[in-house]
Amino acid sequence: MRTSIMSQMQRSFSIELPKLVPLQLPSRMETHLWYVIPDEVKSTSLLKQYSQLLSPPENDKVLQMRGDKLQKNALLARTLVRTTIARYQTNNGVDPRTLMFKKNMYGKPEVDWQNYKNCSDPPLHFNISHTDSLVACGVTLHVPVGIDLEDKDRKIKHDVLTLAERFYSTDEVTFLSTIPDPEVQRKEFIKLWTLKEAYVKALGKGFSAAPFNTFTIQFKAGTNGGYNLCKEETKKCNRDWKFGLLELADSHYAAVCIEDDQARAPMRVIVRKTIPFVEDELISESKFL
Amino acid sequence: MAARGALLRYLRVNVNPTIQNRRERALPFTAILRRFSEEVRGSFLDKSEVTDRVLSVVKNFQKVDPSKVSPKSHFQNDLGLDSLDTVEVVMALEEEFGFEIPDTDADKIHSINLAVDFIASHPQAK
Repeated sequence: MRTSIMSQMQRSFSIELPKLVPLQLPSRMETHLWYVIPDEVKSTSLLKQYSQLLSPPENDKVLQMRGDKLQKNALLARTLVRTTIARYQTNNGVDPRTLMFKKNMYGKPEVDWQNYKNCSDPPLHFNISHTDSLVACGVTLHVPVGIDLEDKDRKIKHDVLTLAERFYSTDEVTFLSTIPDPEVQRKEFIKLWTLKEAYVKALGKGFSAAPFNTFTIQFKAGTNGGYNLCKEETKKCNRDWKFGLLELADSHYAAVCIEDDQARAPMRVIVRKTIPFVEDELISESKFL
Repeated sequence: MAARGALLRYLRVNVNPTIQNRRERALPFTAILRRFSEEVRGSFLDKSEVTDRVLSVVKNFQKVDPSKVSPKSHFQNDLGLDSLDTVEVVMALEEEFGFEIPDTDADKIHSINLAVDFIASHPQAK
């Protein structure tokens, strides 16, 4: 499903933005995963439009990054968040520039809804992740979400098991050490990394609240499959958090983690590729137990 | 100055935590040897030496552009390192300086400066 929006003429003194196509809110236990491939966004006038969406402190932060590539990715990340959140607002025509953001007491970014007095829209949660070559944003309704991306081919400088012994839980080290092929082992290490990172980000209390070696994420194959989250200390496992692992753009692993809202239903993840103001493309819909 | 240093080292009482199994495995052989050296334990490293060594550890990373690395470099904003890269940097620093950096401290090391400050203020750094 491809929707193209005609990008309107941008006069330098005009504050008018092209219209954003509205989006239907995520359903219960559903995550919308949006991504942008920076290399596909080449138009300097489009990038200039994007920088006009950002607040002055956001723009400062972008400019603080050293190097064009880092700056572009930072710009795209903020643009993706602002335009995507704006599109979910049911009262038409929410200007993405008016959105305000704040950090929770642990530093996790969230939308500051105080701007909208008669905001009857239920709270959206979002989380961003990006690598050198991909920028993604996950959106949910009511429940906290965390996402993490890693390049599938990234090189690990240290021995994978040494890194795991230092940072992962004992059960995860055991799991990795049973993998004979070093390439498969490297891949599984990275997948686990994204899952663990997504969980900590969904939790939103900072890395110190859930050090990587205090919990295990364990995959259960089969019809009642899915991921268990287990505490290292007690070895107790639960399904309070739902995990999904996907491959994006043929180049990345993406992990999604949301808090289960007692529905004990599978999590659906709808992946869409986008270039803000230009086009959307539905990529996939998956279900995770 | 040297006499004072030597005297302090002689007088200083070392309170070191017991070496845990997994830490032993992670340390290079030379660091284990130095661990038993009485003069080396309990002294602080010179800050400029620490800076040089930290810079060379970071420059050694394939992903990092050595020309961008300076004492002020922020891992994420200047060098484009992500969380997994930072963990690898921390591990490389642990290997270089022969001591384990606690996770809660490692979590706060976002730049070369912060790494240098932390290591230079740690008596266990070698």
